[in-house]
Amino acid sequence: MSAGPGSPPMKPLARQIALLLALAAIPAGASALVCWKRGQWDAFIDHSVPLSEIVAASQPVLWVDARSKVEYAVAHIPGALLLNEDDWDDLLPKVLETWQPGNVVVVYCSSQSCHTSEEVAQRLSKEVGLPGVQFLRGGWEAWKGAHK
Amino acid sequence: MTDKLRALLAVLMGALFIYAGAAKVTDPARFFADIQNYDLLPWRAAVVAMAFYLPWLEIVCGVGMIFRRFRSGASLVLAGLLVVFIGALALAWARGLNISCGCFGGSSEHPRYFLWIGRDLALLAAALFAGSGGGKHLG
Repeated sequence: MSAGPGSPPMKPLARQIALLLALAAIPAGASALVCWKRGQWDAFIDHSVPLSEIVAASQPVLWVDARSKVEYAVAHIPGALLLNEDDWDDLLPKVLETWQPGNVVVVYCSSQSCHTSEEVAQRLSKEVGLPGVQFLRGGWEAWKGAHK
Repeated sequence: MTDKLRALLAVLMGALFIYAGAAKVTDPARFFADIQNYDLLPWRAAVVAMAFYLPWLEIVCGVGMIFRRFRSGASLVLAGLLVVFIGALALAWARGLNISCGCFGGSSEHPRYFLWIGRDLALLAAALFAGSGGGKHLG
């Protein structure tokens, strides 16, 4: 491919782009290191719990479905209660009524790449104060895969 | 005249991207959550890397836009970034996600996809125009 008149020559342009991309990596790496040193890395760690670990535990589980109302209506884990951020105030009372001391609350969303379960679990833990709230790794897809 | 307009636009674009990067660089955990909400990358490590790298890339390219010597390369990188942002926003819109843009840090109560995509399209056109015809100093 040749450069036309007035357009930048390709090789120096590619070099310039590579330099900019590399330059950005230096402060980015330093900033990650600072974050690590200050002990602020927790926000980036995956705290989800695999299904095998939940099944192996002897405590009763209260499943909380953090997906949409429509997805919940199509199918959900038996006994799971719907609780998503869109209808938080309407749905929370049912969860609190059902929860018993000793229950392990496990929140799930649709798949590995969804993060609503993590957000709902955090709210249940920090705002509501429920103890030991966990969220399922792989979500509904992981459950479906294990129950084919 | 066109050269002056191009230079002015490049400086404005540079300032805008320095601001956008700086707004995110101070709170990588927040930007990490914003990227996660797009539900596009199943690999957490990639999202963490992007949360640290993208704001700095915006700052470096913003500075590059201000200096004529780096304008061509910086404008192409920014154009590439904007294409990715537009694609990510369009996908989120199509999937009906209720998320924050994450574009300038902070958060918005309701998604404004039409506005965000329109703004990014305008910035894409501006980046390409500002960076065009700047090859004389390369080499």
